[in-house]
Amino acid sequence: MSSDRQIAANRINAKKSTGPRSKAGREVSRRNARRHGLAIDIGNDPVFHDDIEKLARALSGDAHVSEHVRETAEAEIDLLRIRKIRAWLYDTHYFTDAALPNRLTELNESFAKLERYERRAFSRRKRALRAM
Amino acid sequence: MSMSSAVSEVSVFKPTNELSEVFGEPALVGLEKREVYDGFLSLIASAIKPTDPIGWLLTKDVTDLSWDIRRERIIKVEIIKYYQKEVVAELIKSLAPPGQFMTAMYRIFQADDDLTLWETDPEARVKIDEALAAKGHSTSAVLARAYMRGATQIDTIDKRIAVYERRRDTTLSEAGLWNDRLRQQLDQATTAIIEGEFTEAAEGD
Repeated sequence: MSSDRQIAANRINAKKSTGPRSKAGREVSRRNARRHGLAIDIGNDPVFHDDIEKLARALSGDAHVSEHVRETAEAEIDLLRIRKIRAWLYDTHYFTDAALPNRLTELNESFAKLERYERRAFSRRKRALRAM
Repeated sequence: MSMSSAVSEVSVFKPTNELSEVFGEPALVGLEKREVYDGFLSLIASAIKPTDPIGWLLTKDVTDLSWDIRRERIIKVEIIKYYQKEVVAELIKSLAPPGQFMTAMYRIFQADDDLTLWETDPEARVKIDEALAAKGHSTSAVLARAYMRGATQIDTIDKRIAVYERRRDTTLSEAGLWNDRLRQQLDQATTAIIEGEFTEAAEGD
């Protein structure tokens, strides 16, 4: 467990981390979220709003939807979205006429990028489920 | 018993329409069939008998992760087969009859046909494997070379499988925290599923 001193140091360091500072850097950072949409918080994406609401209501038994229930629903929809992207990557990179080693190289590179989003969504759902 | 035959022996378990709508179409690829996936989900659900939406959510997660593992294992088999063929394609040239002219003729006109036979005709394969073994290239030596060539890709797939397996274990633990009965049933169901994965991957689907 972090000590009070460590926590204070972390907070000070976090304030220094303001992301890219130059105009060009900020522009690149802004475009990251647009490349595949996974960097955008799914809870703020209108495309998934209805599914998140529906799942949150189902999980709470139509009672009041708590913050943790909503977070579980968001993380679950995120996981389902990531799995569909992974399936699309298989179809795009693996099931083609290219030689097998080339297909695998492209597939593995794409999966490596996707993995951190899946890991994040999975951990988020785990935390939210435990808090429910 | 293979997974496919097991699926046909259980009654169909489905999540509620509301949850099915949210889950949407399963993330299938290539020639994977919807009915096989539904049967797989049904097989797990029939063992677990989830009674609430959380139970279904975790059941679906275990199903999807098991499906991913099964898919990766099939691809791993394809990689090994690909490099096995590549190794045999090189070694088969050593089966040429003696003499410079005959060797050249075999390599130009016959080697490719023999390779096709090795790939498609089980009886011809046995004979070619025997001929290669007589030249010092046993089946296990060929397989070892295939593994060496595909080592990087096989290693990447093994790491992915390990990640999916860890997540499936985590989901089982979550199920245990949520409901002890659910954890025990999920645990028992996945033992059968894991055995099924090996069978299916070995069969190459």
